[in-house]
Order: sequence, then C-alpha cells, then structure tokens
Amino acid sequence: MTPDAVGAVLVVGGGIAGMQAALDLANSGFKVYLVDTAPGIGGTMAQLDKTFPTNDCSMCIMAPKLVDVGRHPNIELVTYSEVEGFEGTPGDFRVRIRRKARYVDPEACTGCGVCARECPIDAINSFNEGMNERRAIYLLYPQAVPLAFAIDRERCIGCGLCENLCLANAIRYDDKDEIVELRVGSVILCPGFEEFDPALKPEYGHGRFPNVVSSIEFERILSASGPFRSHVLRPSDGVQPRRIAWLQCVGSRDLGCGRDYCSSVCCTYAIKEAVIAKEHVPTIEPTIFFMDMRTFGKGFEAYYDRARDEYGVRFLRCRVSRVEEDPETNDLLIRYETEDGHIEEERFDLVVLSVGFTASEGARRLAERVGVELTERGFCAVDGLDPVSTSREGVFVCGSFAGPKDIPETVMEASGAAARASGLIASARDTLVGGKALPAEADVRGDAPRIGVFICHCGINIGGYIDVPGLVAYARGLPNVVHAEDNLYTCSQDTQKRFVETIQEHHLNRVIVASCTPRTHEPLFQSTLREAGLNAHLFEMANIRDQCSWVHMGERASATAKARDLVRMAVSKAQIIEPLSKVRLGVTQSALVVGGGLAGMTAALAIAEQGYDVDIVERDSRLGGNLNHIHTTADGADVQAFLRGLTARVEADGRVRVHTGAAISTIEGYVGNYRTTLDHGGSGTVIEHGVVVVATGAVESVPTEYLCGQDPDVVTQTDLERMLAEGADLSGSTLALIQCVGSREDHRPYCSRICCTNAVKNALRVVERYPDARVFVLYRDMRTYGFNETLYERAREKGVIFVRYDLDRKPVVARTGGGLEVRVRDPILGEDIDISADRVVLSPAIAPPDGNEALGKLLKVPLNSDGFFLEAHVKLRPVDFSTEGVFLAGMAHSPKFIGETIAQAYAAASRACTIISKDHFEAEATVSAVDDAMCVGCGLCVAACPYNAIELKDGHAAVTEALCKGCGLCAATCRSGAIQQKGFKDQQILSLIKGAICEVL
Amino acid sequence: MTSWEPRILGFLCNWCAYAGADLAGVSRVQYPPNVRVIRVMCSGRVDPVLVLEAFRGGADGVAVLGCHPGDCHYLTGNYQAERKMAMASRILEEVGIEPERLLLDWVSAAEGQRFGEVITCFVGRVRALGPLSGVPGASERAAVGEGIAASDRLRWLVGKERELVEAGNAYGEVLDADAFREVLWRNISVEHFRQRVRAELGKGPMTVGTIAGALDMPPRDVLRIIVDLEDRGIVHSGGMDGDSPLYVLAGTGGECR
Repeated sequence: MTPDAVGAVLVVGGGIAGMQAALDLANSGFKVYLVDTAPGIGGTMAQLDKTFPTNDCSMCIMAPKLVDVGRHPNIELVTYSEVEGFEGTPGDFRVRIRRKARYVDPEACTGCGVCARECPIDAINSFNEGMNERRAIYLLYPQAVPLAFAIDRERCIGCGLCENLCLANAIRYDDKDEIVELRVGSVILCPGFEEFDPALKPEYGHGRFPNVVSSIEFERILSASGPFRSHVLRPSDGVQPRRIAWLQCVGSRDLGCGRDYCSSVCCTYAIKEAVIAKEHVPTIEPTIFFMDMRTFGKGFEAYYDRARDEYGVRFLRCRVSRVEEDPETNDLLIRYETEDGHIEEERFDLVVLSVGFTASEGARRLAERVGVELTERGFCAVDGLDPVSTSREGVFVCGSFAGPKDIPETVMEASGAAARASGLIASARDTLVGGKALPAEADVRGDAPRIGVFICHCGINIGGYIDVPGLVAYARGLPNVVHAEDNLYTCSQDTQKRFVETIQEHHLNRVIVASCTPRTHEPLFQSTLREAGLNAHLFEMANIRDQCSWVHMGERASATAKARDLVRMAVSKAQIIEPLSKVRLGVTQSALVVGGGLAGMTAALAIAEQGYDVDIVERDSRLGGNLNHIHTTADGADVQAFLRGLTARVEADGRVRVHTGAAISTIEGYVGNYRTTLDHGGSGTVIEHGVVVVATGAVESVPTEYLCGQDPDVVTQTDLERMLAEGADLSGSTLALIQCVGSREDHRPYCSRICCTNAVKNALRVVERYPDARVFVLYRDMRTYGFNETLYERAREKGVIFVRYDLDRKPVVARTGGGLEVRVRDPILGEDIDISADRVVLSPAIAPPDGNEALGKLLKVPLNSDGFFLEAHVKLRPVDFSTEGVFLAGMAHSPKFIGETIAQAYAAASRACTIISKDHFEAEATVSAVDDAMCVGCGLCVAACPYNAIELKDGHAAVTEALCKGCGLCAATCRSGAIQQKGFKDQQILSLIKGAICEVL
Repeated sequence: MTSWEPRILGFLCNWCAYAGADLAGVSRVQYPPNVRVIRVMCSGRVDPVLVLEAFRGGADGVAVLGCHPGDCHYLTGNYQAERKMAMASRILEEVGIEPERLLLDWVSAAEGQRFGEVITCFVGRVRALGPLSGVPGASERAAVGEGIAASDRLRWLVGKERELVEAGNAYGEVLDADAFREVLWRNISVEHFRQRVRAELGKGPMTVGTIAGALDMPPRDVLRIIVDLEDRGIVHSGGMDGDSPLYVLAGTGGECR
C-alpha cells in the first residue's frame, strides 16, 4: 500500500478485460480512466457471434456490461485516444494522452444515425473485417458505447452534408487532436492482440482465393449483424456452402512464420464455428484439419465430444500442405498428408483459416511509452508466479497482451489486475469518487398522479415518421396528464436542464418520456428525476423510436397510431407506479476463505492488502495444499521457496487469521452478513464475515490401471517430480510417461489441462540432467497450449520421443523378467512398438476433492457434472457464483496451473472487495415482496428462484432482498398472487395490457 | 379488403428479445405495426393469467419472446416460460380459442433481423386466423381460461414440472415428461369444468340438474364438481328447489346481490 497515493487507475484497452477491470475498480471506490484507441469500447469480443462452450450470444452477454461501463459515475471513457507519455512513480503517475480529433462532439451526438444514413462516401467496414462497407461517418457497431459517431478523416471529403442534417449540431469539422493530462495511482494495460495475418502463409490462398476466409471473418459471416446478416454464404458467389474446412494452427505452432507458440483458443473456436454453422444450415458438412485437438478448458472436452458425436463435425488429424482453387467454380482443393503418410486431396466450398494471436503493433508502442518489457514474441513479459505484474512497478497487465487466452481467463486476469492495481493505492480509496449531492425525494404517496409527458422528435428520427405534435395533443387528453411537450432531443443537456424546471413548475409526480429505448436512456432520465427531487422510479418510457418510427418508416398513420398506444400504455401504468428504494443492508467488511492452498492464501493476502480482515479455514494441519508437492514450474522457478515466502507472509499479516485443522460446521446468512461456525477438534469458533471465497482445490486421482499400486516402478508424475527434487539418479534409465490416465474417458470425460505440460517439463528435466536417459511420452493429444508449446518443441529437440495413442488402443504395461514392458500402437508406422522401461510414470487425472458437495450445500452453490464448482457464468463471471457474495478461485473451479490459480485468486479478492469495500450493500429496487396474509407457505417460489433468494420462514415465504435479482419468476409462479415484483406487479402489467387494448383508460 | 388489423401484445424480456427489437430499429428492419410491446425483465415473468387477460381484453394474438435456451440472463427463466406458455396454450385450446394465437419464441440481442421475421410471421398467422371476436363468446372463454390459469392446483403443478421431470419427485423418482403433461392436461380439463360450473352459478342459485342442462354435461359429473367446490368453501347450498338443493357461490351472498 502506498501512502499519499492517487485514488485513480488508468486502464488502457476497452475490450472485455478493460471493461471488467474498470467495473471492479469503480465498484471498489476508485476513479477509472478507460482509454481505447477505437471510437468505442468492446474490443474483439464485440465482433464475436457466439462464445464457446455454451454458444452464448456474445453481444447478449456483453451488452449489459457495456451499458454498466458507459453509465458508471466513477468511470470516465477516453475513446479514440492513445497514451503518448508516461512518468512518475507507483501511486502517482502522470499520463499524457492524445485524444484524436473525432469531428463529432460525443456529448452532443445522440447516436441517432441520420448522418451515416445519408453520408455519400463509403469506407471499408473494419468491424466486419472489410467484408462490407460503412460510411465515412460511422458508429463502430450498433450497440457501441459511447453511442457517438466519428468521422473517418481519411475517407471524409468534407462535403458538409452531415453538418446540415445533424439537428443536434454535433458535427465539428474544425476538431483538432487534443492532449489530456491525467494523474493516476496505478495502471492496467490490456490492449489485446491482433489476429495473425493469413497473407503471411501464401500457400493457403487467403487474399487470392475469395472463398478462403479467416476465422474472424467467418465469425462476422455467422453474426446476425455481420455482412451477410447471419446467412452463411460464400464471398465469391453468395451461395450457401456445403463442405467447409477449417485449417488449424495458421500462424500458430509454426516457427516458419515466427510464431512458435500455440494460440490456445483456436481449436475450441473452430469447433464452435463448425457447430454454429451447422445450426444455421444443417446441410453443411464441416471438417476440421488439426494436429492436436487442444480442448483443455473447463467444459471444452465435452464440447468437442458433442461436436463430433451429435453435430457430426469431422475431425481430420493431418498436415495441410496447400490450398488450390478451381478457377471455374472457386471451389478449393486441399492437399494434405494423413498421419500415416498418405497424400490426399479433397474439394471444399469454403475454407476457414483458424488464425492465431499475435502481438499488436499498437501494444508494442504502448509498452515502449509506458516502459514495460516485452518478450521476444512481442507480448508483455510476465513472471509465471506473478501473473498480472509487468516489469514496471505499479503497472499491471491482463488479457491477451500477456499471451493468447480465452475470454474467461481474460476476465479472471482483469479482475486480478484490478485487485493488484487497487491494492497498491488502497489508502486512497473513495478519495476521487462520490456522486453529487441530490435534493431530498418528495413524498408523493397518496398524492393524485400529476403526469408529465415528454415526447422526443429525435431530430427527424421520430418526427420524420410520426405525427409528434398530434401525439402531444393526444397525450394531453389522457387521464391525469397535466403537462405534455415535444422536444427536438429530450436527452440533450439543455432539454434536461429545462426538464428539471418543468417538473418543479408543474408539480409533476410521474414522468413519461416517449423517445428511444429504456435500455440505453432510462438511467439518464431517471437521474434527471432525482435532480428534480423525484424518486427515480416514478418514471416510464415509451419506445417510439427503436420499436416504432424506425421499423414502420413508410406507414405514418399506423406508426402514429402505435405511438399513441405506447404512450397510452405508459400513462396507464403511470397511474399506479410507486416510488421504490434500494434496500440498504449493513456489510461486515471482512472475508472468509475456505482452503489454505495457493488460491486461498493468495486471495487472503490480496484482500488483506486492501485493508480488510480475512479468516482462512484449512482442513489440513498445514497451509500450502497441492503446492507442497510441486517443486518447479515449467519456467524452472523454485516452487518450494515461493511457498515458504507465501506462507510466511500469510502468517505475518496482522489482518489474516489462519485456522488449520478446521472444518466448517455451519454457515448462516447471506451477502454482507455471514456467520460461520468452525469445528476444530470439537471446539467451535464463530466468525462473522461479509463474503466467502471458495478455494478448496483439487486432488490427484489414484490410477487403477497400468499396474499402478501393484508395481513399485509404476509411479505418478508427482512421484517423478519428487524424485527429481530429491536428486534420484536416472542416468541410463528408460522412462515411459503415459498421459490421460483417468482423464478424457467415459467415467471422467474432462481434460485435466496441466498434465501434458507437467509431463513435458519433467521429461525435459530428465533428459537435460541425464543425457543418456531415454524418455517416451505416450499421449493422445499434446496439449502444451500457449507458450508451453516451446517446451514441447524443446523436448523433441532433446530427443524425448512422443508416441500418440488412441483411446481404443491404450498402451499395455506388463512386468516381465527383464523389467516393465510397454506396448503401444504407433499410428505413424501403423504397428505396435515395445518399450522396455525401467519406470512407467502416469499422469493421473486431477479430480475434485471430497467435501465439495457438502460445502456446496452449506453455501447453496452448485457443482458441475464433473464435481467442480460451477461459476455464475462460464464466460463473463468466472469467479462469481450466482449466489451473491460467494466467490471461487483456483482448482476448485477446474484444474489449472500455478500462475492461472494466482490470477484467479487475485480476481476473487477483487470481486470480494466490490462488496466489502463498502459498509452497506444496495439490493435491486425491483425486488420481490411477499404479502404474508396471502402466503400459505407452499414453497413454489422457493423452487422457482434461481438465486436462492427465497426461503420459508414461520410458514411464509421470505425474500432476502440482498440476493434477489428482480427477474419476477416467483411472481409468475406463485399460486395465490402473494408474491409480487416491485415495479412489475400484476396490477402494473395488467395496466399496460389495458392501456394497449382499451382506447379509453 | 378488410380494415381489420390484428391487435397483438408482445411480452419481451429485457435482456435478449427487447434488445433484439431495439436492434431491429437501429438496423431499420421493417415489420408490421401491429404489436404493442410490454417489457418484462424475464420471459418467465409472464404469468399465463396475464396472457389470458390479454385475450379477455380483446387482443387477437400474444407473443412472448425471450432469450434462446441456455442464454437466459436469470439462468432458468426461459425454461420456466416454456412450461408456463405450454400450459397457457393448452388452456386456450381447452376453452376453444386457437392456441396459434399465442407464440413463444426466442430472439437474441443480436437478432434484429430475426425479430422482424418473427413478428412479420406471427402477424401473418394471426391475420389468417381472423379477429378474436370471430370466436363466439371469446371474451367469456378467455375469462374462463383466466380462472383456469389462476387455479392454485395447476399453478402448483406447472411450477413443479421442471423439478419433477428433470430432478425427481419426493421419492427421488424422475417422472416421465409425457406422462406428467397428461396429468397436467387432465387437470386443465377438470379445472375447466369447474370454472364453467362456477361461471354458471354466478348467474344465481341453481340445482345440479339446471347446471347440467345449461352446460350439457352429465348431472353425475356436475354433482362431483359441486361437492368438491363445497368442500373448498367456494359453493354452499342455499335452499331447495323441490327435491333438489340449490347451490350458491360463496361470497355472493345469494339473495342480497
């Protein structure tokens, strides 16, 4: 912690990493400047159609976060900007930023889009990877935040049309680049990556053959907002393809083009694209050409299995030498060499190149200016035991700038980097944030409704297609409407100022705005209501633009009639809306961490660094967990020394209390207010805490095959690790390492992720230390993802022999007179080979520990079918549970490496601090409430609630408002109408129905 | 050419379908102006009673649009919607309103085009069915349907359906989905019967025979329902008509109203 630190953080890069980091920081009491070079935030994830392995719609899951970032009072967006200068010391940095001329005033621009519809100049649509065109004045994508256009100065000819058309007067042809100086306490860099340019592999024909596309181009083809509006079409002729090939490792695992590492995500995204394509068009026949199928992430192996068995995706293990085009048809001919050495040729309609990640040029420039080191591959240099730190103190990193990774890992690192960046400046928490003072809310209960209706022209977007003055006159005639007016732009700053005056002048106690969509504009209008002294929920919106004028452009009369109905519906509901307030609950500002291994200790220290007390509960008699059995990392770092340092820090930290040899007997309460009783040897300790971090780890399973447990020379990878640490002499001996022992099989279908790299690490250590030793690795797919690929490469150079086997022909181990005999089918030779080994070393599966289920029940959090804890959302909430206030870190989530565990532990600390950094917790305003007189306590609502927010107490249902998310499922399910959702009560929805159907209210 | 235009209510979930409808606007996707949208946080919030109420009020069609399966912002809300709307659809069929007037579909936040297609298609479907007022006594039928949807027994069963056919019942047995639906459908018919008897009794005190005649039902079945309603305190006997007891709806007070 740095005294006199500046309570602000600079986050560079507005992709999903930057957004997550910014939200965590802003919700923990820090000011955030979020900088992006693009005119809007969103990054690569905004371009994706679906996300694996759940096939969630990318925009659907991302849009709420976009909106949260855009309207957060503690986050300042600095878009279309670049860092130019950087100096200072940790806790107090000064940053110089160039804000590029946008030629549109983002404050004045309402995002209505008239300019872009009329602009006569086309430009390449880079968001759609150049596959269609946008205009010289443009919005990055329809849901962009900020919702403000920009002029592409390189294309714009300055014809003046947009300025003439823009009724909001937002065009600024005289705009100039501007230098902004910021003071911040710490920095997070997350500029992301670039896709490998497939033109660097000319043999695959990208850029020469129209029907060879890159994977990101195909992603846009699949997207509903893409160039072909989600029709899967060939670029050459607009015809639906039947045979589509994906070629893996384009620009990955390929020293020839300078990329010797694996890009980690391409195998799974190719599967996703194949599955989604087939969902779009069932006649598509997808084939994926690959070397090793690297579906190592949580749930990925099952995704692979489903793609193959249920969707009929064909997987072909081979090397592709080149792609040729049939010039007559633009079909493509793929020549490839099968595993057993045959050359084949096959015809396809479309070829997708699964391009890898490369370091971006912009990120290199940024690193230079901020003064952080890069690796020889151009990614940010990080230490495996300190995963989110850069070489410069006070500057942190997350996401693919530090190496290829998928979205959940990016999100984990983002939260992790937020924990580190805020830990450094924790003393400055709450110094630069805080809303403006608002007038007290008028008590309008019991008052007759006095409704004001504001109808927006939105320039010509509404007024051009709907009779707005007629609508105003109509609104005036509706019950209890005492004021109605029209505005050119209701959302513009000057209108909003008058809005407050009008509310006060007419003593309005209900306000309706008929304009665009509440999804983007409701918070703005609600805050204006608050400024006028009204409760924010005395507000209704009628969406007469996005869902009326824009979609019925040629039908003025019916569009106007529909707008009348929409306004009438809002007025109907406004008669019975009520002020709502967020329930404030006290928070015990401390944490309980379950598990004292690497994840638990790391999370505890990170929370303590933020200034909060932590209790660690460990059932073992000592701290350290699995780390006690690991001696070196893949990079060669000394794990035991690291563990000693970590344990010493935990024991020395005055804010951390350790309870070893203890178990949890009960946990009562909910977010902010937990009360846990520990049992250590009969005596009970009671701990009060606000949040829980689950860090219960995983265990190495005990193999039952390959003579394990029967023959002393059949050992596990952990045994080999220990032998190497103890200096066992392996010179001259032959080792057979067998992978996937108990993983990727029917009874345990997931991949254990770390075993390939571990085996390669140990194999390398053996051959490097004992050059006359012989090591065989028998594997199914070599999953040395990311930069670990280089270890695999090195092991092969050093003479480690890798033999692939198939699940239906597993190796056979037998004890003979001479020693151990291992027989395995070599798929390249097509015949069995026999290895006489001195030792057989097994890589057993990583399994969930006993006790997960009991803990899950205590905390009311779920496990997945493999027995690991199940997070709230596999993509965007990887360390949260759907139960508020409970977080997840380390191998309790799924098998992972030390660095990954550390990042996730920091992330859990960051997420925990968004709650315990405040002395109160605000529940949603639109929570459910029970009428005890009507409730008979049947419990149906308890079953309907996805968040465990309802329980039966004294014969009635009781809502824990802190946990309620306001979905209303309980209200729709209740047998008797005893439970109602505030703001969406039955009567209120009925009033909308009535408003829609009855001309007279 | 008729001047009649279908009047359709759309219940859209905030996170996917409503966002998809907004995107349709941003993308200027044109579709017929017949739908009036009610935004709910989750498609699972749409109570079958609300759907029936819309028909009772005169809506020609109701569309409930949520997130695609697996995408629900509230984890399971759209699965709950699926079961509730299956029940609503069956109730419509039971009371003699075309179930095709009710649509449950999924539209993601990225599917502006698809939103337009779904609406265009549904408006066409309702247009082909004609005005709801073409169904004799439509409003009364919907009111009876609303009573069915409000029945606590059915609400219990439909609320428990997912648990019983996916996780298991009180004995740890997972019920067969089709068999369960049969139970549910049978209960809808029984409840319908009960609602009709109640509706008939709403006109005044009556004997079993009168009700049976009016509803064209076997007197034996009517008697069973009356006895059941009496048990639940909904109906009580109030005087005699010759040898036959007269029955009165509780709370209407018989003679006072």
